[in-house]
Amino acid sequence: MRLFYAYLFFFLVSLPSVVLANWTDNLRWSIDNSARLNINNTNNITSRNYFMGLDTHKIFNDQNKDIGYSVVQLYYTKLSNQRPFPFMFRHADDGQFIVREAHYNFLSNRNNLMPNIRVGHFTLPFGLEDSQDTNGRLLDYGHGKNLGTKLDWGLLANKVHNDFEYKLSYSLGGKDDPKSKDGSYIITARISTLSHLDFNFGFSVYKAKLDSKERERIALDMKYHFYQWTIKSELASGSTDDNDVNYWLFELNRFSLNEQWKLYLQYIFEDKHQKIQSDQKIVLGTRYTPDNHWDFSMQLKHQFQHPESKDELKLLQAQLRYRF
Amino acid sequence: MKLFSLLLLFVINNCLADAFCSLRDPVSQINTLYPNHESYLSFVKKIDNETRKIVQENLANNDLHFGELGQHTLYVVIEKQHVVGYVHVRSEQSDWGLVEIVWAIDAHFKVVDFTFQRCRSPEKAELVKADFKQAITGRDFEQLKQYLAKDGISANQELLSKINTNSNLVNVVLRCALKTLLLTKVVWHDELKRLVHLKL
Repeated sequence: MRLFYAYLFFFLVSLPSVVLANWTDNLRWSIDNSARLNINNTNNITSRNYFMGLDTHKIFNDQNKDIGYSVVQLYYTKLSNQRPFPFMFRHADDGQFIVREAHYNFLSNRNNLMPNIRVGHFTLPFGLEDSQDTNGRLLDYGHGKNLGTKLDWGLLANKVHNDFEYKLSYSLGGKDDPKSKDGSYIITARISTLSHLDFNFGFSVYKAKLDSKERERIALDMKYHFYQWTIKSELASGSTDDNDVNYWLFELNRFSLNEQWKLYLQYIFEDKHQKIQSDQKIVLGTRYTPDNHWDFSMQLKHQFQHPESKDELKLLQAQLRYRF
Repeated sequence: MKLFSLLLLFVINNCLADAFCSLRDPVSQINTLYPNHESYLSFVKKIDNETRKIVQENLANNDLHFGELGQHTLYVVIEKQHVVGYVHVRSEQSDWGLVEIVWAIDAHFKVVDFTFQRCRSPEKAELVKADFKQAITGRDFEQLKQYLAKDGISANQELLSKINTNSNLVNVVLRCALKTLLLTKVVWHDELKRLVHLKL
């Protein structure tokens, strides 16, 4: 209920600037289309996913300063033979309108300690995903799997200071629904060195009741750029109910001089207390962006000792994306 | 089908290859360049093939990287209700991938300062030294252009004699400064003209 009043407060505060704004000024928008092919060699299932959506970014300002910005992304997503299918779909061939990011960020005064306040549906500030957005890409940092959801509805305080930046969020745990379910909630926070620097180091915490399970995580993440190479790593530890969970991701990537080609290699280790064997994955991927519109990606995911089938998992994914 | 293609051409938009949620304002860099500023005003404008032509006409043998097309932001920095300068982030291809530089420009379109947002070159430490900054600050587009060699893409002896490095990064930063000054003046001309209530 308190969160509802907070929503109402921020809605009313933002109403004049939003209603009176010139909607075409400082507006970025794009139609974002992609088709993804997934070939799972372990169970011989080939699936396809199609995404078509509107991606927008709008800055609001008065005569003297920026007062906030909004990000709204609405996508129609169609599955074809997708097994297992994500929670928001009803069957393997379902199609749904999905709200990805949908939030407004109120900007505070620069010269005080008051944070900016984001309200809406946002990516949880945790680990590598916080400084490297993977929205709509094959590249993934296990955010959703590790935290139970990648995005949630709620409030997020954030600010970039001269030497560090931070985000702290409280959200409802309803995932794509702006409501709490069976007492669900998520508290997430990340503090890091400045994300544009060659060496970036972050510390994250996460505590939640989600899908009727108590979840806790802490994580250290880092990325280091040198020449055309980048090293990234995330080490997370915690529990889901009373079961310990440990997770480690290591990535090495390299881009071409004109940055049209990118090649990445990931090693992912996940150890769960109730499982006899840990999961280990290798992901080898590439991305080609010839211009600002086209994006072709492909990745091969190889999971050793898959816990359910006792078999290895081999998943080949390819994605063609066009934004205009 | 023809109608659909026509519609597609009509609505075609210069966008970013990545989703817009990945956009970040250079907040800490603005703080560094203008430590006493109180706020900033953003103006988003499109840099398209027309703009690209302007660059090619004014800077022979130069072009914009494909990532430089699309919608970009100019930050107008405000202090005590007055404009103290502009901040613009521009990238330039180098021997080590794209170099992103945050430029501080005064209201007369002269370079005030700069800071690297992203630079993988081992030579970047040389370019943040006082001699290089002194050589390029306080200069407008035409004055900076005098530092260009005849090939239009590298620094001439006049600039190199003032600094202690002849690294290729000098050429990269010089080209980036020239494009930034040119584009700021040309692309954001109307928006900056409207800011009379905040002028110095």
